Amino acid sequence: MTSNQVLPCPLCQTQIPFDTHLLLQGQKFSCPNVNCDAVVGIEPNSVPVAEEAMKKFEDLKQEMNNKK
Amino acid sequence: MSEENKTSLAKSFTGLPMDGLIGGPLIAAAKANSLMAIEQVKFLLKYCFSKEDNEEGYHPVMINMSLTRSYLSGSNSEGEPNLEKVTTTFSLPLLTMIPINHLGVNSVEIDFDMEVKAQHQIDSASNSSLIGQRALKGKRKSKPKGFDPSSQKHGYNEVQLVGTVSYDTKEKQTKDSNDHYEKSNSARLSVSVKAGPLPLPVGVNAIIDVFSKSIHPVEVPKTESTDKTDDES
Repeated sequence: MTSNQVLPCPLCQTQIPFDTHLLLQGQKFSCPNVNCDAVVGIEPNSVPVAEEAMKKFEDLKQEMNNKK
Repeated sequence: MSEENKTSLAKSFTGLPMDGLIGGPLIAAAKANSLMAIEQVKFLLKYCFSKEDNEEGYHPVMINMSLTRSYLSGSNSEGEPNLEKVTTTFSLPLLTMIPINHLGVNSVEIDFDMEVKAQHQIDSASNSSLIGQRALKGKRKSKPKGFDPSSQKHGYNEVQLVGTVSYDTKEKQTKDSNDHYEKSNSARLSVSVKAGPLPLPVGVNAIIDVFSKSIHPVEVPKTESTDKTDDES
């Protein structure tokens, strides 16, 4: 994974590392806690909202790099 | 040579205040950091938060996430346990998904040699002033020594150095004796700026932490009134 994004497991609050791009493509991520078998993913109805925000974020980063 | 070029050349030999040489790059780095922070805040408020016209304050944009768990339920005809999956939906702020890095300048190194052209000491009499409505019989009270935060100026005994950026050829000759350099008016000012991810602001971390903790379901204790309502239904 290129980024170090984490989100807390809804069951045991363990930090689940994930990649935003892979998450938006439909991949699910498992909780690293051996005693927890939770698997999290994004709902299809929320993908457009998240994709638009990520695209705008990437555009902002590109704009900041160009300004350097 | 134009008059403007003659003037600029003359000015280059008169020297620059030392605080400008050192403070200039640092101020530029601080401005760059503030610009990046402002752009990040604009992005967050535009895409990660929403605001209704008739409401005050912002609300986070929420996305739906799915949580899948497996559990064993009974057994089949062969006596083997049945493994079933259950999917639950929960909401999460979009802010937690965006890989926000507080990108900023975390190191500025300024390296230059300075040749002092002049040294000024501000006269104490020029800094004195009347304090309050009462003039002390024509006597003037002088401002206190040291830095005055209200006026952002130093009291008397302020020393100001004026110099130019210079290049020490003698130092270079001692290191590389085989090389030959001619003394010139060349100057060297090296500014190294290193940018990298800085820790997220405390406020952003607090928002993420609060909404992350709200994911975990909390059991609401039953009260007497709810028990009665349940019994009546």
